[in-house]
Amino acid sequence: MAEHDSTSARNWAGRAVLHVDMDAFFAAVEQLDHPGWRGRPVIVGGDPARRGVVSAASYEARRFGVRSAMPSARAAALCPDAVWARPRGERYRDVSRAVREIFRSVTPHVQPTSIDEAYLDATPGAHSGEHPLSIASRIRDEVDRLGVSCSIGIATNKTVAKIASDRDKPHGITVVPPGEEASFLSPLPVRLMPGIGSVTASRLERLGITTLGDVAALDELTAREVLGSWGPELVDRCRGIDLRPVRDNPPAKSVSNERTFAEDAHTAADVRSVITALAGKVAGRLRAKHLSGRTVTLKVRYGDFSTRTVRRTLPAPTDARDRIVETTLDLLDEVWSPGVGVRLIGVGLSGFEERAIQMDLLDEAPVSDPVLDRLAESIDEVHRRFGSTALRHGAHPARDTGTPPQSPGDREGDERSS
Amino acid sequence: MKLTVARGELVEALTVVSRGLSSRSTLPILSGILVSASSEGAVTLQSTDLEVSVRRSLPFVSVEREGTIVVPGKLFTDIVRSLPEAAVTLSLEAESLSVSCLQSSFAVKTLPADDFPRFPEVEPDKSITLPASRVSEIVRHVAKAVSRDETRPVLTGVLLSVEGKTVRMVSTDSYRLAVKELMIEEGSLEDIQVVVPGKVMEEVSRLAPQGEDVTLGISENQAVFAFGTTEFVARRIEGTFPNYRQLIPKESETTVDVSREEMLAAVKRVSLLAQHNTPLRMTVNSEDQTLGLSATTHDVGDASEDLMSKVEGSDVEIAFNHSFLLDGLLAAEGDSVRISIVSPLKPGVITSSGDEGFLYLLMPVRLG
Repeated sequence: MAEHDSTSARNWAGRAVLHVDMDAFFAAVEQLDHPGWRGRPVIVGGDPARRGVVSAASYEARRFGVRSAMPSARAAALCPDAVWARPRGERYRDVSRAVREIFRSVTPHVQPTSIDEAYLDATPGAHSGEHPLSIASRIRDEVDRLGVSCSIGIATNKTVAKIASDRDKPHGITVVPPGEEASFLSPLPVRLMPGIGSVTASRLERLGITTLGDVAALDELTAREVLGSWGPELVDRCRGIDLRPVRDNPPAKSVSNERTFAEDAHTAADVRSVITALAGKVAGRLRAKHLSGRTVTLKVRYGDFSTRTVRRTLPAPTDARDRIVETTLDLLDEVWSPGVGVRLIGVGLSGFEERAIQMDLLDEAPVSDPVLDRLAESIDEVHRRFGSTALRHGAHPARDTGTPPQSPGDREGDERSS
Repeated sequence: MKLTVARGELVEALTVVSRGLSSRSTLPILSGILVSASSEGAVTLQSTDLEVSVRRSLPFVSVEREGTIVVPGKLFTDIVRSLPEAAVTLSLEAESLSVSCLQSSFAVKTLPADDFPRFPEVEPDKSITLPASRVSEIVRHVAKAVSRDETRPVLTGVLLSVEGKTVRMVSTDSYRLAVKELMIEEGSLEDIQVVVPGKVMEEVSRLAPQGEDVTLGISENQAVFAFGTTEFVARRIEGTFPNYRQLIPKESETTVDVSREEMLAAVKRVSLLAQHNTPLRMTVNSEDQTLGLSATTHDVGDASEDLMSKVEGSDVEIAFNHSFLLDGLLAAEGDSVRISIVSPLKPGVITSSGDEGFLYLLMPVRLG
């Protein structure tokens, strides 16, 4: 496919959605970890003697007719020489994470749909001017380098990309260029369309509707009659129309703020006032993200550059400055005594839960402290409009006056899940 | 006292009367069942927890000697239940009740009958008779939304109203509200509106045999349910029941029609990852015509599922307590349900075209 690498991205009109589907993923990981198993039929699944089922089968095993979800006993009968492996979920997740890292290095718009599948938005111009095919080849190469393999479908939408990724397995890239969606889908059997199960498929077949092209030709009324209320939507998909976006929102895993002192701090007043300030910042950022966390972390770097990190888990998630301050000061007593030089202080929150309040039908007043909530929200608002120095808590040290909203020694961190 | 009765008859009667036993240990007499036999062959069993009193008479009993005794209710029920299907003879010997059946015999210490509260005799001002099947049909729809929180007593009740030929029950625990109404062939002469304890309503609907009628009588302070030879007398719950009509949104921005069965299965699946009270999030996408369900439990994992649905109106994201949502879907009948949403902070409404007269209103969970 190297000749496509030079294809200009200008030839791609509209969105470019990649569907990346790992090839016999669990079995491939087992073959990676057990070099002796490469080239041999490998079946990952439960014990055939104990009514287990097949989780995955390598391509060598598939040649014998072994399929996933098949009873292990049947698979053992079909392929008596297979190597059997017990599923190792944690290991597969690790590899899956590494694969996702590759995706995210290519585009920020990644929507994993399972451990071995993901949609990527690779629309030219959105992130880079690269042609989708060249992006796909790069992904395939990098996945190869991990020791596993994937197949990729490229199209202007999710449905077509997903069906395309399955057309040339393993290790294939199938491109459906803009404008050719309908003609690509048309000859395919109805059961390939996600959302058409075997029951619907056989009902359609009885009506003489066997290809996606047949479904695409249905008028709205017939579609409703045959497929129910979502018939028209399904017909659109069979016509190659699918506007669903690739959704990506990796949730933050921790929010932290740190400050490095220009000169080592030694007094309780100095250290405490910085903690108070940092906690306030963390709390404000949490509220802005509608998050509250249960684990409070304090990081202290001493004058000799050694660092201690201590954390405490609260009974309930919080985004309240005072709660964070109180907990952090408790933690401070564990790791620091006045007089010891401090170079850096960091305050962080993790263990997020979205703040969730069951609303009440009868008084509509949610069970929380409305006064404190309003106070915190007002402070956030003032900070947003006039900067973080416009309004401050009484504990702030006077010598901080006049510092810009973000002191040079300040850093904020957002650790995200991968 | 001495009488002989078929074991099956007695078990059936005890099963009903046991529902009125008190669990409070401060008044031991309330853990007893009063058995009284008159020389005319009338035998009745009674129980009370002072809120609810239950009385059941036994029709086919041969009474040899009249008398009134109180026996420990749970023990007596357990004993009779364990007996083989044969004639059971009860007789008072000294302070003990002797229970004998074929080769088995028991002697159980009785409680002082004089201490047993009098059965509340109710003179109803109004009454209505309903087929038991209709009562259980209505109760089934509203039972789950009854509050168990004793600090708001009125919400532990069910608002039962009869207006002409329409019978309606409403319950709410302030997080959700269920309404079910249906038409009956013969209405009442006067309108009825009464709040009765939810658990009594549930017991009656469970115990009244299908095919029989249930008569509800109302006096100033009491409500009495009578079916067959059974009477349940409950104290009416005081206080004003919330004006439910005001709480139901008049319009909606978004409606989602979805297969009830598919949604039920999906909610159950996704809820596995809605632990520790984390909410279940619903994402309605009109362009995709999908209803997305998702849940995330910190440190445990997440789950999501898209349901094909028919969406009208604007896209919306709203979160609910998953078990409240499940209760509503379980209460509804019919193949498809409609979820109507005004906004993420206003109540959502579940109705079903196959279940006329049912409405389940559900307050959302506010995120952030």
